[in-house]
Amino acid sequence: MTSRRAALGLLVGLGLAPWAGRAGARPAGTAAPERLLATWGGDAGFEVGILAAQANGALGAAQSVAVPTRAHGLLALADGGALAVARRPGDWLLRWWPQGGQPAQWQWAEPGRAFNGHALASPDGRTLYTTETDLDSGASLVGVRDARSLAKRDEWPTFGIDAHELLWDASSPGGPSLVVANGGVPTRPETGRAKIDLDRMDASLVRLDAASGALQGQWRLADRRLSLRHLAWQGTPAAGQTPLLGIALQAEHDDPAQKRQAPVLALFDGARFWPVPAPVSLAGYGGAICAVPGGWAVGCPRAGIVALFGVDGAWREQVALAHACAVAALDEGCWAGGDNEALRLGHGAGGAQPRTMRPAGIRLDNHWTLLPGAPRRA
Amino acid sequence: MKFRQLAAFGPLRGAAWALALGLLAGDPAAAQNTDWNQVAVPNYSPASVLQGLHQHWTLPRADDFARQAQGLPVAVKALCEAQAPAGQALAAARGQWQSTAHAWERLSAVAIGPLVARRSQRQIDFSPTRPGLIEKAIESGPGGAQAMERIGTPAKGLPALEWLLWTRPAAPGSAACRYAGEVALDVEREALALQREFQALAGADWPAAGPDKLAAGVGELVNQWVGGLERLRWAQIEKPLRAAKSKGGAPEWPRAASRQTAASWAAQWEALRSLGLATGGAQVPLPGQGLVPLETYLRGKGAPEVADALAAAGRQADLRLQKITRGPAPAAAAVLEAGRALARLKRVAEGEVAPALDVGMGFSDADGD
Repeated sequence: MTSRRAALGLLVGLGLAPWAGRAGARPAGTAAPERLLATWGGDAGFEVGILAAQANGALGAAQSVAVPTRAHGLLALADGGALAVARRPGDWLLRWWPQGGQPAQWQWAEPGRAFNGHALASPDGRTLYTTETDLDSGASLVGVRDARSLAKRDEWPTFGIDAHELLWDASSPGGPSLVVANGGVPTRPETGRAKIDLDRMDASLVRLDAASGALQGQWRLADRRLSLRHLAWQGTPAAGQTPLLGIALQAEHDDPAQKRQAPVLALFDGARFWPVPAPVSLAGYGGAICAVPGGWAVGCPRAGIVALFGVDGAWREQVALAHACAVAALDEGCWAGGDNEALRLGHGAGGAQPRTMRPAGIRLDNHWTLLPGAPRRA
Repeated sequence: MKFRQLAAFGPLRGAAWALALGLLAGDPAAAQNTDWNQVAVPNYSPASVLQGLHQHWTLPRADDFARQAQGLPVAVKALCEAQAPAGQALAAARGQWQSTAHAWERLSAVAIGPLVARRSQRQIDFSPTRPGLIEKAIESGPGGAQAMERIGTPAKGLPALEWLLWTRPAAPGSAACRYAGEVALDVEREALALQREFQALAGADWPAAGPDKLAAGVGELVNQWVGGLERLRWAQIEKPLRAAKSKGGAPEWPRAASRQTAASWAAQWEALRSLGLATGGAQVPLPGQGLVPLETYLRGKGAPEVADALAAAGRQADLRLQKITRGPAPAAAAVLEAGRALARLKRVAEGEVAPALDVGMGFSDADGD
């Protein structure tokens, strides 16, 4: 495995060098410290908050709010608010204003429903879409919610089970659509997340009309033991221009060897859908994905690796980071977060020291996202 | 906030008292005062842990649940055939429901084996029940197992029967009472099926089981024990309070209609405590001769520091749970403190117990999401 320092040279060549110097050593002209909306666990329980670069080079919790159970998906909202979704099977949504001024707003799952961990805001900011599970039937749903009140306006089937992340797609000829990852893993939400009957796995990618929920397409990988979980666009979808979609995978093979070697990335170009191999073991689990210039970054916590791929899926490089999972897109790269340390992968030279997180002992969860005010990719 | 005015925290009677007193049956103080350096704790094999679990914990509890559940259709039938006013028959049916619910909670608080495979919790304890669906089911008048399979889980099981016995008590001779009888039979069928499956597990030749099966069994025990802690902490105790705070109105406690909230918490905690903590002082079972709580298992494996941490967090949780399950209705602060104590216990289990037992936590980051 390549060390961070050794990876630096390789990544410079790719335009993806780790840039993780102390805040005081940041290149001249850099704007205010970047702030990341994140969620973590620690001695105080679970929190959602802002991690910002500190003078000592660490990423410190600038603001935070306690949440009752683990959070998962996070959204930075256009109005300055932040939205957090409970980890599946979850029962709360939290809207929080880090700058203060308004009380936190909680929304509870309706009876017989559980949140699946992710939400999406429509570009006009009026609608919030949440992936959910019908606890009686096990079927997955998109909850269509008023973005202000968070109250549910409608429910649409996702034509699968275990729906997880969803993205907005403005490139569809017939109007905007939602792309939803049906993870396909049968679970027992009433007993936590016990997985059962993996032979019945049925993961799929679906496209739903963003106005009506009508099914516009459904795609599956040949290997039915690959669960589709997290999504990222390579560029911004626009009318008539369908960019590539990257999908982070979670392998559920019975055979440990098969699982270890399973791909963690699949690509979808609007018609074709294919898994991407890697020359190293990534332990069959891509926990998060973001687009980076010229490719993709996938956090692989079981392998302790940030895996870097080209746009077409060609293997580029791995960067070691213990429990690497959260990845947040930047214009020039990404922030990658491990359990209690992080790396900023971007342009330019500089040291490759990891950023520790403060307070010590916090364990970063699966996702984080860059807050507006710093350059970022869609 | 005080819950004194809330029906959910009714006086503990009958079986509920027995359950509450059962909290004291294994004395945490005795375990606390035990000098473990003076106790020879066997190095239990995974096979002996699982054998003890199923012979001395799951099967007796499944037997008790089956016994109580078999009395449920009888009691409901007596109610349906009673002459009005049916106060005595209604009280008897309610009492049988309480006994059945408590037996179920003592078995299902840690969802192991057939409880997971059969989705028993969903089948007979789906919450919240849906009154509108119950009324539709009453109109459809299902008869027999096959017909009940077509009734959605939110309209049957113990919560639906609670609704039919307390919220809108079914009158003798009514369609609602006939439906209550079918719901009771449905619960009985599930109880008997669980009993059969736990009998098979108790009778299994655990010493001959392969390493994968044994590792999976111990892994399931630890994971589901943690899952049970979290379910009690969040879904049963903290969430109703926090949701009421943000939505307004009274907390929607589990088993509120039957005033069995405290008894339900007590039953679940008794199950969790008995599987996790050594409450018998210096009395430790011989391998294969009794239940091996996680604490004892850890001591036998030479991890006394982890066992001590588990015991300490468990004692704190025990004290907090006793405060909210015995005596007058608790204050909100006491309820939240009990939740925090359960959260601390869960952190010890995830962060120290599971690694010491070489168990991967299915609820952790590493499991994926």
